[in-house]
Amino acid sequence: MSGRRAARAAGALVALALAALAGLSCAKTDDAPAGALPVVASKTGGDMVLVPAGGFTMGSDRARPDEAPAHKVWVDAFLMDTCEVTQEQYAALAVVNPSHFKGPRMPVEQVSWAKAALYCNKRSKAEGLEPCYDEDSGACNPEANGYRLPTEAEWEYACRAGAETAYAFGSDGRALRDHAWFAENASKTTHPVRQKRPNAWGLYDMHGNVAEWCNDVFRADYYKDSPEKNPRGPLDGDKYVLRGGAWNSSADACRSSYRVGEDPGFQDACFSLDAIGLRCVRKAPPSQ
Amino acid sequence: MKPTRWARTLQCVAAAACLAFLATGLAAAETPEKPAAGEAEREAAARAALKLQDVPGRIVYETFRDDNWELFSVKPDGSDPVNLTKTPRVNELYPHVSPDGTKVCFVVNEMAEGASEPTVRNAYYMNLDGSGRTKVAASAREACWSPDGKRIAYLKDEFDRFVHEDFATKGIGIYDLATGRRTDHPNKDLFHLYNLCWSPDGNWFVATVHAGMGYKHAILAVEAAGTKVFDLEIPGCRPDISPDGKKIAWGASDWDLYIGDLDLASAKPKVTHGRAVVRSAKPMKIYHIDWSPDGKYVAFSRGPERKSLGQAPEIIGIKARDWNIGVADAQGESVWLAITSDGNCNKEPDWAPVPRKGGR
Repeated sequence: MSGRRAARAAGALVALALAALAGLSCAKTDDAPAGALPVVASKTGGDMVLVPAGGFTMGSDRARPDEAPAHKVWVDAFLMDTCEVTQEQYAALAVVNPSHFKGPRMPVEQVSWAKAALYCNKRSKAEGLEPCYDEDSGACNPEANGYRLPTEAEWEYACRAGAETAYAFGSDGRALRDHAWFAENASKTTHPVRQKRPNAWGLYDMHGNVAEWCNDVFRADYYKDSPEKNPRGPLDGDKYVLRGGAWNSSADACRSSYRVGEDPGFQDACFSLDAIGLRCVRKAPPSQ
Repeated sequence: MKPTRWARTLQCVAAAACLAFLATGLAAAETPEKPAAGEAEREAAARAALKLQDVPGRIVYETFRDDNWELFSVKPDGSDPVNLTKTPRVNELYPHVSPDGTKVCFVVNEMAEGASEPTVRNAYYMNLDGSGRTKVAASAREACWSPDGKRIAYLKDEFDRFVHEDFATKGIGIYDLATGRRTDHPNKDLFHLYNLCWSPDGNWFVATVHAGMGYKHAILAVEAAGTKVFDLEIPGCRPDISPDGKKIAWGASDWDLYIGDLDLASAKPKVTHGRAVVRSAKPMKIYHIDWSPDGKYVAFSRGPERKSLGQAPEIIGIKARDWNIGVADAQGESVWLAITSDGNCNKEPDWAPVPRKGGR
């Protein structure tokens, strides 16, 4: 199949998926859909789940102070990588594999926020999309149609997949072994993606394996004054948000609402945190 | 409406309060100048202590001038700058002077006609007067001299295509100056090493590893003629061994240069008694530490970090605006002076001994 024909086919698939989602979201717009969502192939790597616009309760009033207050949030539709970006996918565009634990299907790690954003831009350019990041300043243009890191709200919305419990599958931490690689079962290493059960929307490794960079600057009390619609994080700060927990995390740190701030490593040539990786998102294509 | 006396009084009080607030604000705005005054005092004290005008030898470094990388040398106090390369169309980087002070090895980012990015990085050496330029190896990085000056070690590129990441290497190559012959290091598992330094006894290399050989990031001792590898268990990168082989200097973080005692003779090589020799405060990064031939001083480069997605300024061949060369007392703590001030991406200093024959 030629590239153009493949692109047309992918476009048709997206249109069909959006039509299906429109039906879902018409029922009750602030309810998250139940069940697996449409999957779209990306040109440069793995599949992406088409996450519909919707509302959910972000954060938790029963956990750590920086997760409170639990509050209503609305996010627009977006595409999200089904899996964490693998070393194979990363090296195909960035050439050098910075990961400590080697394996083509294992998630790339030791990636600073800056390198993660740069990868998003490379992926956008490779697919003929408009890059989201200004490479001189690191500023993100969320209106561009290229790849970027998810906002913290998008990440939690996608992780929960409609669940209001501590994890996407419920609140019983003992079941985490079936859904995540974390300190109790990972044997001190990352693992190939897609080996554990996905969440209800078909997203793998949202809990565990590697913690995932979000686009947002981290502020512990951000939820106190964050906007309800498409929150994008504080304007400035020293740390950026990580979500999901990793191979070396406790079960508690893998919860859907657990959040942590980390130095983004702008221009850090030796960024060596082997529990940090990424997953990309991009704007859902227009339905017309 | 005409204001009442009471209202006028209130206005006066308000005006006075505003003036007081403004004065406080101005005073606060002036506070950043205070550290500058402290900085001048620190510089004066360091100048008196270091007496760099009396130190022999020269310091060679890479610098970006007129849209081109060149190798310059200066006296240890920064005076008498000399352009060693004078090649406006060739980008020379990462200089290392031979132990006898007569030659320099370096790398060149080779550019294809009309290209904006390098296509390959090759290693060369030449006499310090610029004559006798000789290719050491193609697709080679971060070359350094054997202690007898008869061989040059270099890191072999991991990829056919050029990348800036300094750890994108696979194996060590050795070039023999007398025969022009190249041989491979016997350890075929060397991967993602960078910043190679040959020990004065010739038996070891020290280097940083990033995401390779099972390490996430470490400073290693690698047998020069064998296959043993040891983690020196010190944080950071870019190690440099003192000329007597008894000490090691390295960058413990982006903000601290360290010195420690080096023991390469024990069954397990180790570093002890590590201490900071120069500390720098954000946003000024500090990198590329290098010993003086007498072991009394260290040279380094220092400059600002920037919030950008681009490569880090300390990486070879990356433009680093406002970076300069500094020299510190190796026995002191943060007794240092900047010896260049033009900020022309001055990096990777290498302290050259006084030549035993010829050269500058």
